[in-house]
Amino acid sequence: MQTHETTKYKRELKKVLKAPRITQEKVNDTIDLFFRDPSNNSLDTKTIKGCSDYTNLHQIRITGDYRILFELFDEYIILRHIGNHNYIEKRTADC
Amino acid sequence: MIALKATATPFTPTSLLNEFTIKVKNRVIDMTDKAIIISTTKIFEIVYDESLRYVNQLLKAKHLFIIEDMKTIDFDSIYDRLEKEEEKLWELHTALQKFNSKSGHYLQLFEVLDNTLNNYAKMNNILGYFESQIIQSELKSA
Repeated sequence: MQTHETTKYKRELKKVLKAPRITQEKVNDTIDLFFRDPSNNSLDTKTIKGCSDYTNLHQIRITGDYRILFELFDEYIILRHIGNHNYIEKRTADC
Repeated sequence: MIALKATATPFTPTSLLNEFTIKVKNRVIDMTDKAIIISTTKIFEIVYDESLRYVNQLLKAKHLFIIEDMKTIDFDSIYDRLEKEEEKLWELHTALQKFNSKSGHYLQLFEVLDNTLNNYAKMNNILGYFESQIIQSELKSA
């Protein structure tokens, strides 16, 4: 499974990595865990339906309050957003 | 093609937003004064209208979607500008919250700010949609 990132995701990631307890390794491990075991409880995986600006949108938990939003395809994922719960909720409020 | 360059985005001048946020944070403006709240709401209705205008412009571009045109977009420079404005709006939102007023006029101002922030989220979503389509198209043709 390949991983691709949008410009927005890269910009958000830079900000998120300044937060305590969030590291690039933790982000990578979370995505890897999703590939191996998508329904793992620690990920709190959610499918978000009804968003016309996204295709097959999924949300997973990294740690504590932080989440990743991504589009899931057969052979790859496109990482769209990363941030705290409130920020992610605003991204999916009217999509 | 619809103008999507950062310089073409019709946002409210950041200087106005900056100045206003500093005044609210430092409590130079009395946000408990009804007349001030009403005037402020009117200013932010303009900010809301501008943000809505850009959302509509992006929706039109989404409808017409031409992948080759989208590849020429400098996403970073658009986000540079969008994020500066959005950050200021959030800052103002937080500063205003500290006044914790329950008056109808005050709640109306908050509603305008909230709706404006929703428009910024929508702009980000549509721009992300364009980029996602570009990535998908490149993967298909690889």
